[in-house]
Amino acid sequence: MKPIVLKSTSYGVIILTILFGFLLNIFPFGNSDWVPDFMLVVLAFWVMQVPEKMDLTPAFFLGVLMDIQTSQYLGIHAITYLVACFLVIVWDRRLLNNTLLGQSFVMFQIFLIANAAQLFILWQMGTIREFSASYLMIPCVLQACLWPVLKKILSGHPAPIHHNPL
Amino acid sequence: MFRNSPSLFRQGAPLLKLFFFLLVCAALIFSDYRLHATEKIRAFGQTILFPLQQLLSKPSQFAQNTVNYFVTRSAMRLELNKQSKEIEGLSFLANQAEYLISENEHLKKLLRLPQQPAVKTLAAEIIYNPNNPISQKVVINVGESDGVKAGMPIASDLGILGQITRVFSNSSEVTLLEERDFSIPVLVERNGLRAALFGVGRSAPLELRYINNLADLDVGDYLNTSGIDGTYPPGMPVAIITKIDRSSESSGAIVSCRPIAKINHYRHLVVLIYSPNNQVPVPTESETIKHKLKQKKGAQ
Repeated sequence: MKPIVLKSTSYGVIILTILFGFLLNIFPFGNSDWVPDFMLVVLAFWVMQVPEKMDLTPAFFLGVLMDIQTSQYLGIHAITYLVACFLVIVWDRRLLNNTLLGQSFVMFQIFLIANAAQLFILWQMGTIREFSASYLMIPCVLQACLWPVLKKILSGHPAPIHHNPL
Repeated sequence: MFRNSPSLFRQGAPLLKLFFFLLVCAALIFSDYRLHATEKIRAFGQTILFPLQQLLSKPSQFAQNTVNYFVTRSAMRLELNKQSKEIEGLSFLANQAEYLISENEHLKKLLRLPQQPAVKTLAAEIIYNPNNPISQKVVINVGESDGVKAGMPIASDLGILGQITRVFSNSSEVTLLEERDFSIPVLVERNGLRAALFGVGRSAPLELRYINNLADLDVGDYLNTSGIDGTYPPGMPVAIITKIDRSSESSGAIVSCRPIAKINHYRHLVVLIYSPNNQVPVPTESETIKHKLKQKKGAQ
């Protein structure tokens, strides 16, 4: 019997997929509230899959980059990404021991909490006067729907190692 | 069993890292929101992102160009005939306009009124429209290298669209009329009433604020720029009044307006390079603070 060697995903693949997500993000869809955050989905996927290579540092810098792109106050997207990635790390067993559909539901919760955190900060700053339900919900639903697709596309990569041993 | 249950910290959740970055985020948000001190980071990031943004705006341009290429010659010829006829009509009008301009100049000289400077224009193209729930902005493909400065008005063929609020080396950010609390001084075309027009937010009608309940306004009145602020050239169309609510409870009338220029429609717009020669120094807050500090120092 051949020994099973678990190879981690290379940085090249990670960077390329995140760049692709970013390109989708900056595609001129116009200023509408339904546009999902493609890069956040890719980022969360890699944080789940290869936590030893992706953690909160790239999440922070990509968030700042996204703030510059959307001419948002610097740090708003960064907080969203940090919260989402942190929850992925904390809930990794809930994610990894789950079916594809179950994972999508967990990811929906994570995206919802992260997005709500962003809207809450903007609301506290007084820049939005009321919670827009469509802006809160629709991107999260779309991102959760993107999750299985992304998982199928990138499933050729080795199985994840539990980084938090029981 | 319970003793060995993994605690949050033993699991290696990067709490410390999270708090550190959240603190950095809070500092960034504060310095951006209150101090406006992050322009350099923004300019740097924008220069990195510019090639990507250009690349991503290409597909739609490419599609347009392909369609244009396949427009047949006969269609072009028809268009040419139509246009030459139109030009004949327009040149007649232009002659008249020239006559009116010269007469106007002469009359202004007689009255010793300051001459209106000519408005130069610079054509620009929208690169992208940032997806942001709290602001209505577009990014255009002209920047500092083209002589664009912050504060310059932006117009389409129909009227004023907005104002340049941030300038990068090769691109600049335009705040549109619909942005919340965007303000523009206007004049009612029919009777010359001065007022200030404010943006309310995405796809909400513009508001004419601080208007008396008894003010002479009507639905369908045109609002033009007044030129009082020295930022917008006078007489450019801005909006039409669509609804007036003169309820007795509030002290003022609530006047809703619709912008004349189609704000979210075209790819191309025009930067108005306008510098009036009757400029007065604008009192700024920082100067008055400095002045007060100096006074305090002097008193000590």
